[in-house]
Amino acid sequence: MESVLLCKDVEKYYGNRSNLAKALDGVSFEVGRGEFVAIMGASGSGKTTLLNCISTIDRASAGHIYVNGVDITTFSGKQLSAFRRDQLGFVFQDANLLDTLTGYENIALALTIMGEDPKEIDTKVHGIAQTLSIADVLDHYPHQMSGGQKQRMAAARAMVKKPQLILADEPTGALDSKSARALLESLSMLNEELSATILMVTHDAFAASYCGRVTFIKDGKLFTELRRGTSDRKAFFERIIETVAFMGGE
Amino acid sequence: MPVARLAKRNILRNRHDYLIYFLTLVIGVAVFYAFNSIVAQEQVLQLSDSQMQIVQLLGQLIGGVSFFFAIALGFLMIYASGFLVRRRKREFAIYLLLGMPKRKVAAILLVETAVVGIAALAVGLLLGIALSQAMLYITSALFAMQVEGFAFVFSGHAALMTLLCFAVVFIAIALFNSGSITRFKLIDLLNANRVSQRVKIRSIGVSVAIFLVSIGFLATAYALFLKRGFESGPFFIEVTVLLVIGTFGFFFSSSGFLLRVFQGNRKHYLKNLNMFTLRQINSRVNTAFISITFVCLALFLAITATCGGFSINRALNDSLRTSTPFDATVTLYPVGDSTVPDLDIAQTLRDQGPRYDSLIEQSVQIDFHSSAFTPRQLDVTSGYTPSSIMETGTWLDEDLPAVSISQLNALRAMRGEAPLALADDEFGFWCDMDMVHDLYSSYLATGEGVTVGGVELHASSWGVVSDTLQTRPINMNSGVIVVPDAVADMLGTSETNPSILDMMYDGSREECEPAVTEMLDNAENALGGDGGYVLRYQTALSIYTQQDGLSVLISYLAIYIGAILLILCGAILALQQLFDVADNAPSYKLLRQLGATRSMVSSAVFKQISVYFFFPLVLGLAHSIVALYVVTDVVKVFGQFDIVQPLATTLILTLVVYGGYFLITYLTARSVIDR
Repeated sequence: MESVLLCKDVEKYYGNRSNLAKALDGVSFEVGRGEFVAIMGASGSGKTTLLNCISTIDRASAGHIYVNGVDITTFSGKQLSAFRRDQLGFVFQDANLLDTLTGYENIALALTIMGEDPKEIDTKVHGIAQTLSIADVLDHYPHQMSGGQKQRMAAARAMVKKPQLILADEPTGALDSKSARALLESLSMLNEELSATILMVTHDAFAASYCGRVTFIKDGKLFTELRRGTSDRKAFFERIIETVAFMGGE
Repeated sequence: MPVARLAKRNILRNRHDYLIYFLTLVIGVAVFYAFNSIVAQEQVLQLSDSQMQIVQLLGQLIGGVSFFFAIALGFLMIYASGFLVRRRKREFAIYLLLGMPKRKVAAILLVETAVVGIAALAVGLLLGIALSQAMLYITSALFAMQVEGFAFVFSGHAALMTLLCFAVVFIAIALFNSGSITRFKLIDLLNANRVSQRVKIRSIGVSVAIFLVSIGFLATAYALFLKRGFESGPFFIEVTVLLVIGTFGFFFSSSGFLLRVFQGNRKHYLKNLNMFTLRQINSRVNTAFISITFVCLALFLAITATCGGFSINRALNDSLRTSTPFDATVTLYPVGDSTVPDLDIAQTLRDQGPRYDSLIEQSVQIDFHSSAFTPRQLDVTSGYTPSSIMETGTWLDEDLPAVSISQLNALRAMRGEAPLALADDEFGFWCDMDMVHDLYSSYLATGEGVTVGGVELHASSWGVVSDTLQTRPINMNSGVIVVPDAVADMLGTSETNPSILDMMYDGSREECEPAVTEMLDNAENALGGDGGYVLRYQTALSIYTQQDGLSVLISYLAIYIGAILLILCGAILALQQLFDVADNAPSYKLLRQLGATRSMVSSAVFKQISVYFFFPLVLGLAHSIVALYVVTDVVKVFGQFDIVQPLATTLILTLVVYGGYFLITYLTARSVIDR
């Protein structure tokens, strides 16, 4: 399978020479095109640091990260903006929509930043809103939407520009269980029907069970990896719980 | 950690927020001190009595304006510190959560404000002393005198007044801040940053309707004002009310209107960050329109007052050049109810002292006769509308005096100009005020004549002559009928217009002035008024001295009022925009994460700040231009003048102060975003 993301011996240190903390200690892994991958780990395991390095919000201290074969750790200034704009889609824990813009405009913003032809924008925004069942709240402002609607709006914003890779940071963290389920089903659908490549960071086994593969991280190192294979979601969920329990007990 | 150390750390950490606060206080204190110390300059300048009076009057006027300035600045500072407190709610919440009493939190804030305030006061006073030193040299230049060597001026009175005013402002801030801290609820403080702002949504249709109505109000106000000018009465209040409501409505609705217009144009609306910028402006204007309206009206006042002041100054100085062709003019006034005596003024002076002929080279006497012809009889039907000022007062119903052609020609001869021909049945008009000149030429265009002393006269070939009648601060000969000598001889002397004697010295003005004034003073005293008349004189040089004083007065007041209003406006907008940008820092961060480049975000911020700074300026300028159009009509009484230079000076002042605030705001905002 063609790889979209390839991390090689990624390291990240904080602090100075006398007091060094290794947040990432030689992490290597790969995400293929069309995969839906979860990174799981406890608080402080380094999973968010890893996501920040991939999204170029933070810079790796050592190692290389390749997206579509291009090393993004060497990027600077304009290249970084262009990379984030053209290749990445973000879904944050709190939807991070702009309060002053309507739902429609929040989604369209991702396209206007890319310099998309205004004629195309309408079709694309309505298309993705239909897919994620939020067409009826497009004219609402964020404070008029439910938490689940906001989160799906954020997913639509990430997806509308058809990025190489969607990065989701604890997307269900702030949602009740019903909304969380709806969002995860939406993400699965984006993955299956539109072949979106999604990398999701979570500490929630239920959320992880929607993925095709779960990578566990502990103390800045990869610990193990689970593949869903042909098993159904429930069975996969049981296996994830076992692994989490094993990791915690070790 | 003791309060002082916490406060120090907080100031350093919040230095960006404190910067504008600090700068505004510094500039405020400096300008406040410098202008209030003007009176102290009389210690080092050798001022004449009349100049001293002017300086003291200036001191009083500036003191009065300063009072309002201090109050306005006080409110501004309270507003600013309110913002600072709001932005730091979470920090205060943590202090309280850790068990610090509210008293102590208030103390920290008090120490912070005090340190910044005292530092600003010290820097401001130093800057103010430097500024007043610079103004000393400007004043001396305006009064046309030299400062001997280096003179240092320090005004204890002004310093004390500055300290006192700002101490009061400071105490008000301290009370306000501790008041707001004791009202804090911990839960609200902790959640302060989480609560997403609710966007007030106003129906776009309503916005457009209000916008159109406001434009209508403004247009009506403009039209009414242009038509009626400064005519007193209830209508002036109507114009003011229309203007204020119109301005208010304009800013209340314009962002919604703008949004509507842009949304209609998808191509531009959906380009780069335009959508975001417009929404951002719209959401903020909904809450900020009151302060923007205030800023717009203050800018209007600043520009009008400053430009109006400069214009009057300019008109006075311009007219001075044409209104003082003679070295001196002596006027013969009747005493009590007696009429102007038929007297040869030159001979009377010669009788008083032997030096007359050695000092005065030439002189011409002008006598006015009663014509029994009033300006109202000048029935001008077409092509001329009299200025509203001419309608006020009784001028239209008073006699136009008559002067003989030989006296006019004698005056022309003294100035080296050719004599004017006048046949026995002809007349001409003589008027040196630009604004009434047209009345006479329009009347002559009708082909009508005048009847004076029972004689019918026709218009002469030269029509209206605009020679200056006498040396005065401004030309004020609003009209004289020039008649043949034979007609003049038949008329009685004018009851209202005293005879005058225009004279030229035998030598330069500077050389002869002391001796001439001595001689004329003696004559004034000796003649006393026992003979039923008194003599009064004005020399060109004495007029210049008075005029210089008046120029200083008007210029300083114009600059002072303009500068403080601009400082206030700039500070309000700068504070508002900076706090706004700081509040919206997460949005800008999000834009960067979505892949917007640094320059895209900077340009969005630039557009937003520009709109906030220049919308009120543009509307304020429009108001000013209309007002100045009417003001120039008033100023024309003092003579014809050119509005371009006063306006240019005003705009430069505006650009420096207001533009400076704009630039600081933008640069600081950008550094906030880059952080």
